[in-house]
Formats: sequence, C-alpha cells, structure tokens
Amino acid sequence: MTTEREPKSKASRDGTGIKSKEALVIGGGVAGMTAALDIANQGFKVTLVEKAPSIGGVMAAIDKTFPTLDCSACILTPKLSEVAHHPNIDLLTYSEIKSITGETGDFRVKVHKKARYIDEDNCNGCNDCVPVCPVELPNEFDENLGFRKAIYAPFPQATPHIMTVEKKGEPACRATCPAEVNAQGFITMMRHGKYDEGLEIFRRSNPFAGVLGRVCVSFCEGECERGMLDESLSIRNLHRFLADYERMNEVAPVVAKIDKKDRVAVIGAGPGGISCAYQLAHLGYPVTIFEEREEPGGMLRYAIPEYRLPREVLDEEIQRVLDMGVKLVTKTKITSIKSLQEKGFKAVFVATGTWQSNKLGLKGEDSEGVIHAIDFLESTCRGKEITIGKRVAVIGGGDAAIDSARVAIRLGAKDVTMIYRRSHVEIPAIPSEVQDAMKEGVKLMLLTSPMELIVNKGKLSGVRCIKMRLGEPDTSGRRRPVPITNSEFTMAVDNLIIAVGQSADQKGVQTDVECSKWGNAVADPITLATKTPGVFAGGDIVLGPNTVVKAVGHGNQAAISIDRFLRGVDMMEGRAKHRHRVQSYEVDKEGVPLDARAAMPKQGVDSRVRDFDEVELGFNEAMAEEEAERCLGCAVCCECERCVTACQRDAIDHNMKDEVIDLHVGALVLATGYKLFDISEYTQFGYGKIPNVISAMEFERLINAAGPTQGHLLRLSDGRKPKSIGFINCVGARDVQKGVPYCSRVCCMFSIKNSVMCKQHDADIDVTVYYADIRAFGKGFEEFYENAHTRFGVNFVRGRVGGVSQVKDNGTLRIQVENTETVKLMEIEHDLIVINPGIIPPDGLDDLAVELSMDLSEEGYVDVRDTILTPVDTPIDGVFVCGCADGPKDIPDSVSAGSAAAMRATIVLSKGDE
Amino acid sequence: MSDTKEKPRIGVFVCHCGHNIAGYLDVEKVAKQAGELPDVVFSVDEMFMCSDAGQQLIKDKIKEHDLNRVVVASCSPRMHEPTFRRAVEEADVNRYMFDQVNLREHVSWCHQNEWDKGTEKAWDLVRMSVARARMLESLPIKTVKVTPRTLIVGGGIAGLRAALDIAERGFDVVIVEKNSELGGSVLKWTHLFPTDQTGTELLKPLIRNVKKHERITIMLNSKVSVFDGYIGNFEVTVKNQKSGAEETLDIGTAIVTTGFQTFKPEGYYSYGESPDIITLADLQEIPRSAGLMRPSDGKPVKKLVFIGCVGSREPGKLGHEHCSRSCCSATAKAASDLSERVDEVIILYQDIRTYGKGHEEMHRLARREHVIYSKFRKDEKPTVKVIDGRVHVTWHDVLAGRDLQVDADLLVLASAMVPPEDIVETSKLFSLTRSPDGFFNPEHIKLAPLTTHTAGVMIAGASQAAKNASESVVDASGAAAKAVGLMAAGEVEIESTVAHVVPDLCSSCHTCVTACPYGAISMDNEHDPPVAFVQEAKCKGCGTCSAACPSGAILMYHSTDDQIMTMVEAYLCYTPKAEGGGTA
Repeated sequence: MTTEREPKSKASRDGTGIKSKEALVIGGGVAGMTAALDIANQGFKVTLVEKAPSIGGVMAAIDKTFPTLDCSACILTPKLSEVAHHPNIDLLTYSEIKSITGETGDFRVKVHKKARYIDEDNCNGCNDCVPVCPVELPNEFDENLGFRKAIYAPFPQATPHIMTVEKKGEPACRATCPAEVNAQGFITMMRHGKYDEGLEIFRRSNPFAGVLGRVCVSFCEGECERGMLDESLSIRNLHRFLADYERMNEVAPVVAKIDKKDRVAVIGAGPGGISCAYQLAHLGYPVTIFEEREEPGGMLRYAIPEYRLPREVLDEEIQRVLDMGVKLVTKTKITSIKSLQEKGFKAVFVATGTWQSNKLGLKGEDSEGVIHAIDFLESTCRGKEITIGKRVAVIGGGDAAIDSARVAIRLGAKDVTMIYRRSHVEIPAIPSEVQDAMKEGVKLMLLTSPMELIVNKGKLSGVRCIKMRLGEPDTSGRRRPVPITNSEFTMAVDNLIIAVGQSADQKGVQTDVECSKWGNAVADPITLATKTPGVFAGGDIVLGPNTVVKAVGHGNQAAISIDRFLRGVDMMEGRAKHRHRVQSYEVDKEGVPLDARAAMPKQGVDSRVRDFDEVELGFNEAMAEEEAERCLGCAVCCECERCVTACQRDAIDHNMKDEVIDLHVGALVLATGYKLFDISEYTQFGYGKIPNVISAMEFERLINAAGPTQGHLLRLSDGRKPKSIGFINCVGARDVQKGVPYCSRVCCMFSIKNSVMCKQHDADIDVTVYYADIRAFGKGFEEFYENAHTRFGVNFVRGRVGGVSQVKDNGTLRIQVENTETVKLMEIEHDLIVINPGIIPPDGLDDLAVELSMDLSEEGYVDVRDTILTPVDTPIDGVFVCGCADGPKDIPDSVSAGSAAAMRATIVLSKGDE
Repeated sequence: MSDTKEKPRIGVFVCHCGHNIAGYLDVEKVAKQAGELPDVVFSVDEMFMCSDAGQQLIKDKIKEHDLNRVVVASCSPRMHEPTFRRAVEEADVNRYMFDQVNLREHVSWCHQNEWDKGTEKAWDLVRMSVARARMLESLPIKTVKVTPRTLIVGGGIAGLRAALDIAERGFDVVIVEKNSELGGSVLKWTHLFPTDQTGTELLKPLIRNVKKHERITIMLNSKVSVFDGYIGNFEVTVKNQKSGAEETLDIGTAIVTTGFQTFKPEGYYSYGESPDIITLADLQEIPRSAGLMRPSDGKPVKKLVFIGCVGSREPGKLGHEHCSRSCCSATAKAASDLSERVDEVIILYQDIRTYGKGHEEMHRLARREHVIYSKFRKDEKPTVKVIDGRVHVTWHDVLAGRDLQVDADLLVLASAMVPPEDIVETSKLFSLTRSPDGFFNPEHIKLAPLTTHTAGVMIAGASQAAKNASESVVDASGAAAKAVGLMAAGEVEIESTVAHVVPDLCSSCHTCVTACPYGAISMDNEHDPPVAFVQEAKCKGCGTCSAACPSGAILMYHSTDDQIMTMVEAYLCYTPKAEGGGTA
C-alpha cells in the first residue's frame, strides 16, 4: 500500500498542512466512543468506524463491571445513544479500513462498508424479521453459547439499532447452477421440515423440481463445499423429494395472474421454452408456446427414457405452468418469426433445440441395423415397437448414449457395449447413470473409436474399431484422443446406435435470425437477444446440445430480457455476474462430524432391466431431512427472503452491495481494542475438550440477564447448578513461553468480580480463585478484593494450576495445584472451571499498521512516542491511540485514554484554523 | 410557567427491558390499568423503550395523540432520563413534562420471586407518576456562557501536560502552583520507569514549552483561596503565599491536579529509628551519580532491602486500604538500577503488581540482575529492629516456608501514595467529594473518571487516585479535552430543576445558606429586607434548603409540594374512578 502513498512534500508545501478538520476514530468500543464524543463535543466532525454491526465493543458483552458491580450494558447504553445521536458523529458500522494514505492534517482514507442488506434509514430494529429467519448459528456475542439468526441485532441495545444480514455471498451450489436455483435456500427449509416453502424457493427459478430432480446433471453437487469435507450433498435428490412430497400430499394450487397486455410467443415447448413462459407468466405476461410435436416437453419427453423420468411427473410440472395462464399450441410448426410478430406477439423466444443426430461420417451409416440415438430414443418414448438384436454397440459417451444402451438392455439385447473414444474421466454422462448402466450389464469399451462399419447385404454385421490414447488437450480442454497404430480390431454386432451428438436443423425457424455455420442461433450470452429486435433465442438452439438445466437457465434469462425489452428498460444493466462466490476458506467446517451422503434407494437390477419402471425410488422424509442437515449453509443467509415478506418497512434489500467510502481527515485515533488469548493452547486445562471448562467471557454471558440462560448460573453440559467453581488466572498472560510476557492487567479484577458474582447468585457456592499475584491496583480495586474474601468468602489460592481432569460420570472436574503459600500439592474438585484468558492484540491491527507505515511493538501493540510525556501519541504524526490498542487496560484507563487521544487529535485539527 | 392551563394528555409507556422487568411482573397489566387513569390518553407496553424504536414510538404517539405529558416506566432515571427527555423534546414537548418510573431497580430486580406483589408495586408507582405528571409544569431550558480560560491547580506533570494541551488547542490557561517551581513530584525522581531518564531530564522540555507559551500564565508560590461561581463562570482568587498578594481571575473551567504526597511511615518498620531506614521517595531523590552510601556512616551500602506495601493495602485502616499502584514497578526499577552498586538486593513483597506496559519486563530484568524477591504473608509482616545502629530485618518467606533474616545497610520502605495534607481544603474549595482512599471522587468511576460532581471542575492524575506518571499524563490530556469541550462550545445548558426562594415568604434567617452543600445560596442584600437568593447554575436541586426552610419559602422546581403530595395521595387513596386518581 505504500506505493499509493502520496508524496510527502504535498502537505508541507501548503502552509499549515492541515487540510481537513475532521477526525477518524477506528474502533467503536468504549475508548473509541469516548474519543469520538470528546472530539465531536469540541465542534469537529468525526467518523467512527466499527467493524462489528454495533458499537459498544467488549464492554457491551460484560455483565457487571468492577469494582462497583454496575451493570455494564446499563452504564454503557446512554453513551451508545449519545454517540448515535451526536450531530458531529458519523457512524460507520460493519465497516473496515481499506487504505490510508497521506499525512497529518491530510489523510485520505478508504472505508469498506460491508453490505448489511438492510436499509439503515428504513429499519427500525423492530425484530419482525428475526423469528421467520430459518438460519440459526452460534451467537458470537454470547460467546457462541446461544444462537442467533442470520438476520440479527447482536444485542438488544445494539447501536445503530438496526438489523444486519450475515451473508458471505453466493454459495457454490447456486453460483454453479445455470438456472441459479437457490439450493441452500430450499435445503435450509427442508432442515426445518418446511417442504412447501422449500419447493416454493426452488420454483422461483425453476419449474421442474421433480423433472430435474431426476435428470439434472447437478453441476451444484460437483462444487458443493461439503465435498471438501466428506461427500457433496445430494442436492438433486433433495429437490426431487420436495416434488415427490408435494405429489404425495396436497398440491399447492396455481393461480393464474396474467395482467399485462404484451403477448409473447415461445417457439418450442422444451425445458427452455417452458421455463421462459413460466417466468413471464409470473410477471403477468400472456405467453403462447408453439410446439411442433404432439405434446410438450421436448427432449424430456421424446428422448429421456421413462425409467429415468416417469411421464406423469413431467406432465404435472408442465401442467402447472399451463395453469398459470400459459397457452400451448401443439402440432404447429412455426416457419416464420416475422409471421408471429405480425400476429401481434411483441417478443419471441426461439427455443427449438437440436434434434438432428450427428453422423459418424463413415460409409454404411444408412444400412439396416444402424440407428441414430435420438430416433431410437424417440421411438421408444413414443412406445413404437422396436426390434433390436442381441449384440448392440453404442457409439458415444453422453447421456443419450447411456440412455440408448440402457434402453437396449430393456428391449432384450443381451450384449450391449458402449464405445467411447476417451477415458472414463471424460465421459460427459451423469456418473450415477454410468454406474447404473454397468450394473445393468452394459459394457464400457473406452479409448476406442469406430473406423468402419462392416455391412453385409445392406445389413450391418460388425464394426471395425481402433484403440486410442489421450494426447494433448484440445480446444474443449479435454485431452484429444489419438489413434494407436496397428490396434485395429473388429467386433460383430447386430445393431449400432450412434450417439455422437445432435445439431440444429439447418432449415429451422431460427434461420430467420443470424445463425452460426452450424445453424445455431447467435444470441448475446447474457441477454439472449438476437440481432433482430424483440427476438430472443436460448437453449440448445444457441448452445448446441446441452443440459436441461442450462436450457432452464436460458429460459429464465430470456424472460428477464423480454420483460425489460417490453418495458423499454436497459436489458444489460446489472446482469453481468459480479456476486462474490463464497470461497472454501470462508466456510467454517471445524467440528462438523463426517457423515456419508445419503444413498438413493433403487429398484433391484434384476427387476428393473425387464421394464421401463422408474429405477430411482426417491428419498423418504427421514432420509431427506438427514441429508438436508448435512448442508454447511456456506453463505449463512440462505436468501429464502422470508424476512423480506415479514418486514413492513421495506427495509431489507438482498441485492445490496458493499461500498467504498472516501474520507478526508486531519487526524486518526486508533481504538482497535484487543482480543482474548486462545486458551485451548493450554492443553493441560482441557478447554474445548472437557465440558464445564469455560472461558471468562463465556461466564460473563452465562450470568448475564440478556444471555443464553437469562442470567441463571448453570452448567451448560447438564443444566445443573454448580456447587463449586474454580477461576484460573494468568492463562495467556505473564507467560514468556506462549509469547505473552506481559501482564493482562484486567484479569485479576475480572476473576474477583466474577467470583463475587457467583456468590451473589448463590452464597452457598464454593468459589476459589487460583492466582500468581493479585493485582488489584486501580481505584477501589484493593478494597473490592478485600471484600471478596472477607465479606463474600471467596477463597484465594496462590499457585499456578498444573492441570484439569474430568472425574468420571458426573462431570466433576479435578485440578492439581501447588499452593505456594503452604507449599502443598493439592487436588481440588470443582463443578465448573472458569479460565481467565489474557489479552492480546486484535486481528487486523497489523494490517492497519502496515497501512500507516507504523512499527508495532514486539507483542503486536501500537507503540507510543514517549511513554510518559506523550502516552497517546503514536510515532506517526496525526495518529493517536487509546484503549487496548497500545496495551491491556481496564475501562476507566481506556476511557481516560480515549479523552486524551481526542485532546491530542483536536490540537492537530485546530491548526486548520490558522 | 407556561401551558399549565392546558388539559393534561398523558402517554404511559411501560418497558419490558427484555426479561429484566417483564420476567418478574405483569407489564401488560400495568400498562392496561394505566390506560384507565384520568388524563391518560395512551398507554402501551414495549420491549425496550430506550432503543431507537422505543424512542420513536414515544415521538410518534406524542404526535398521534397530541400528548403533552409522558410517563415512561422502565429503569433508573440516572440511566435514561436524558434519553427520554431528548425524545420528548424532539417531539416538541418540554423535557420537564416527562416523568420516569423506575420499575427495574425498584421493583423487578428486588422482587424477583414475587410476581403479584411486584406487579402491585409497579402499579402503585406508575399511578403515582401519572398523578405527578398531571401536575408537572414546563420549565425553561437555560444556558450559561463559558469563559474561555482554564484554571489548573497544581503544576506537576499532569498540570503541565493539561496546560500545554489546552494552550496548544488555542485557549488560555492559568497554572497555580503552591511550590516555587513547576514539576511536582516527578521532578525529584531518579529512577523513573520505564524510561532511563531522571525526572528533571524528562520534564525539561515540557516545562520549557509551558513557560514560553503565550497562552499560559504561571502563578508560583500561590494557592487558590476563593473559588466561587458556577460552570463556565468561576471567579477565582489566587493568593501568593510569599507576598500575600491576591489576584482575582474569571475562568470557565478548572482542572485539579493536586497530586499526592508520600506517606511518612511513622510507626512502621522502625522508621525514624535509624537514618538507614528511608522511604522509596527518599531513595528516588538520591542523585544517580552519587555512590549509594549509608546515611548513618557514609559507608557503601552492601545489602539493600526493600519492603513493599508500607501504609498500603491495610484493610480497616482508613486512607491506607488502597494499593498505591506505582510502588511495585518503581521498586523493581530502582532495584535493578542499583543492583550493580551493591552486593545484594532483597525485595520483600506481598504481591508483585507490575501490571503496566513494560512493567513486567522490568520485574523480570530485576530478577535477571539477581535481585532477590521474597514474599511475606499479609498477616505476617516482616519485623525490623534497630540494634546497635544496625537495621535487623526478619521475616517469614512464604514460598520457602522458612524464617529468614538479614542485616540491611539500607532499608527502603515503599510507602504509600496518600493525598496531600491540604486535600481537605482543596475538596472544600472546589466542592469535591473524596473516596475512602482519600483522593477525589470522579463523577463515575468507570465511564467518567475525569469529571466530578462539580460541573466544570475536572480532576486528573494522582489527585484522583494513586497513579504513575504516564497514567497521570493520560488523565491530564483527557481532562483537558473535557475542559476544551466546554470552552469550545462556548455555552452550556444548566438544569432548571432548582430551588427558588419566594422573597415575600423569606424571613432572612440564613438557614438555607448554611444548609446548602453547594454554596449556591447567598443573601440578596440589595433586596430590602435582604432575602435568600439561589444561584441557579450552582444549585443541584437536592432540596436540602427547601426542607430546612422554616418559612416554607423555598420552592423546588419540578418537585413542588403539590407534585409530591399528589403522588402520596395517589398511593394512599386510590379509587379507580376518582378524578386525579386520588381523593380530589
């Protein structure tokens, strides 16, 4: 970042160099708030930047403060309110510093304001959205002891008093789905058994929950983050369950609501065309689908065998679309787009697909016994009588090839071989389909390519093949198969099914618009608009043979474009994908138990090869719920949008984007606070492993009336009231070996205060504090310490605890400690052990230091220029420090330092006058 | 006062405070019943009244129902009275037309297992408040100007820092120092921590800058003799101790940095029986360059012994219960500085409180320099006997579990930081209260450590509590910020809830003048006959004068007799249908 720094001379050339009379305070804890107030009270503008959703810092989470046992939240709330309402303070929460350049009097700061998906002006913190949110996660404000929702305010007095949606971006499943199906959304609903709502979420972007639940290639599962842990989620089967569940129970009624005038024509009733019509009907447009064949569905109906996709599922899902008010005209081949436009259709979507089987280009392809896959599958689907020989070879490795091979088995072929020129890695068909085909007896002959068809008397008798090896990658990125010389061989076959892809009809209606040399319509990749205004094209007719879900995606996108076209709005605006995809490292997988993916129950092989009954039987409810429970919820917010419905103030905007705010300030105050030492590094205490060993901050929340137990002091492991509690001090403090040689300054009083709180909760609790030195040095501290043992009866044992172990069964803990005052080794039993972690520098302070070209102390704190004379001035001119950013401090010391930093900063700002 | 004729239209807002109130009493019932009280036109219960949503609700309902009085039943007014006053004001209702009922501290928290009784008590309190609200009168919002000059009392390190900060910020400062030079205690010290400079070296630039700053006036050998007036408008008389000359100044704010003095440990460890027993402060004053010699005979010190917590941490002994905070680190620093010049250094301690930045490192350094730390038990302190001029120390080492003894060539007692002798005088002068440690009380021990209950008077450094130099300087800059905040604003609001003397009833008995703890009442001699007169900016509205006045001549604005009596009536004589909720 130093490269961005402006030349030093710039400010000094200009007389005073103080070009801005505003200040920036980084960190909204009690020190930062005090600094901001004291600057603002002098009449200067201040921006207070806080990375959490609320100001208040750690103090807001503390139950009582020492030595007066004031309620922390209560004494803090007036300050929060004062900061929020101060006319000179601009509060930027949920924001972090991006860059700092310049010098004293003239700092340029960029602040990254994270999208909180809430309109800060409209939200009034009424909480209406919270109960409807289905995403629960550990509440970090309660030290993860309780739960909060994805939409939340961290604590009741949070300031500003508005909600925040925690959303890391777009989860991999949704980002990879061409139809943008919100998989995390419907799966989250399934976790709560809300299948209807899950299905509703699915149907927002896709009308084919059941159809694609059977035939989707499931790109989502390939990218599912769960796969990084054990196995990806069975996403496809989960939405199939949603559809199945609806069929078994009450079907949600469809209400037609066509309220717009502009008529739209869709040519082709395949998945792309139907999806487009579906989305347009949602928007209220009257749509007519023209279909050449007798029935709608396209390849879904005329190519995919029934054992994969029962036709009643397809029929029902198409019927739902028609019930929305979409008109369907079958047996009508459109030959001219213009004629449609002349009939008053304001927009046309061409989704005619690719129905021409590609040829191998070998002699004898027209002989008897050679069949093209699409013809073969269509005939089967139409229920035509087909005779097939005993030995069948299928050329190709796509879904059509697999389908053909499995259909051939079902038609009685005894020996079915798939010939594919690359290896098993490159096979484009759905892997589970390949597995099922092999189970059914289909043989795979990989790295093999046909060279010649052997025809005897006009009838195919065999095929001559050659072995291949994989060479360099070709343009598709797959390794190119290269023939191996002298590896030719001949195999006798009765039938050869050619499944090497399809092409568009070169004379099809798409030729009315610009087409490629292969006859594919040319359309903008994002808007799907063709060169002809009002005409859009999508699905296979644009892409060449492709997946169903891509066609659905195109249908969706075309619908958006058509709507915008008809409204005369820019079709392109905001369409390019720029959403942040949640990255693997952003998903917390720690502590998630490994669990295998649910296996799909299937019909037995012996019975299924005899007919066209559905092979995959679907999940039952228990399986579906268990599988849904495996979802890691990568993005946190699942965008189910129930909050949007619940909010009566229109304050939730799921499309909000992060902002970068530029500030020009004269002085900076660092009030970045601290974090607590990770006490699990002290393995001898068993924190994180042994139940009932907790940290002091967890204890704070446990005794807080607004905490997870509403202030009842209980063991979370079994809900019992502890009868004996031990506090261990100096953990992660005054320990050279752990890199924390210094004293954390607050923990002694913290533990004394908490021990007194225990006694106040129940005077019969036996409380012991294990310490090295009791450092009760502040005003009123020693007196409080004295009271703790004389008046409240807290035991103090001087000695470093050697270890904590669990006594069997009842969760009682035993600690070993040497009482250094009596020089005796002791073993003492407690019901609860509270560890007081030391204080260490906060995350991100090092980054900030780099921005400022400032060296931190060896321990990672901000250094001050002169410990005695200028204890809040950093070595960088115009940059001041307060609170724990330069070392551990208690609240009054932090507050004083906040005021002091404010004073020093305003001296700089006041020079702007001169 | 205005709009008293207007018919009261009262809104009652009962707060759940999450579980804090609603968990222990029936807030809905209280709100519902309140809705039936006379003049109450709106009543509701709400989750958090203090939240922005709650405040907005008040404002909305004021507009919607044309409310002219608001009662919020929630927590202590100490907490949120300013919050709610601001809220009603934003909806154009005078802030004094607001009344707060404390259901949390007064009901739910102290009656956690008494749902029915708690609810009844809450209802009583709300009913009383509504009755009072009917009688409330709006009061004017008054402001006073702030003279842009700060008085700093004490020219030690804290006073110097505060003075320089304020002057550099662009305001005038007057430093009043009772001694003949600036610098205070720090000036004399040789073993400052964590720096290696001496106090004189350290303070040199600071004193130089203070002396040459045009906005700073320095008055040496002087003490404040009269401190009169009120926030923003103090009249100060400074008396030169030597010449006896007096000067009167107008100032807007004051910072009291009167510091501490070292406790003379008479009666401790044979102090005074041998010249070889000195305090840590005495040791600090021995120049570094000089060899460390026994005061008794001038021979080099071979065995140097420190004893910690002398006059500190003594439960039950008023003024000596506190920890003196800086001595552990100072001892560690002095011990390691001197360790090379003597054969052996022993530190006898209770706890080692090297808490600050770099302090623990100093403690470790001392140990590396072979300084011997030996812990004694709090209830088993070392004994020191002077036998034949030799200082004989015996103690029980807790960690070794053994009785030990040594003949010290020099025994240094780390004696306590205690308030200076004239603190009583200072506290009276500035109406400052003191905590049991003898030092001044801050306005709030946690969140307002630098301001005091005397508006416009700040405290900093060791005048507030035992502190080291660095901490005092932090305080000083902080207190300076508070002073500048007032001066920069130029004016400050004062409370209107003050006492008022009705001249016709006043019998000039002076009872109120002596009763007032804030010196806010004087006699108006221009009035004939002279009557008592309340300086409103100084009045805290405590009501002492009103209670003391034998003639009933003192009216407390916002707590008038009528307002109080109607509450009593509402409590004792509640009949649901009766007008006023009372007997009326």
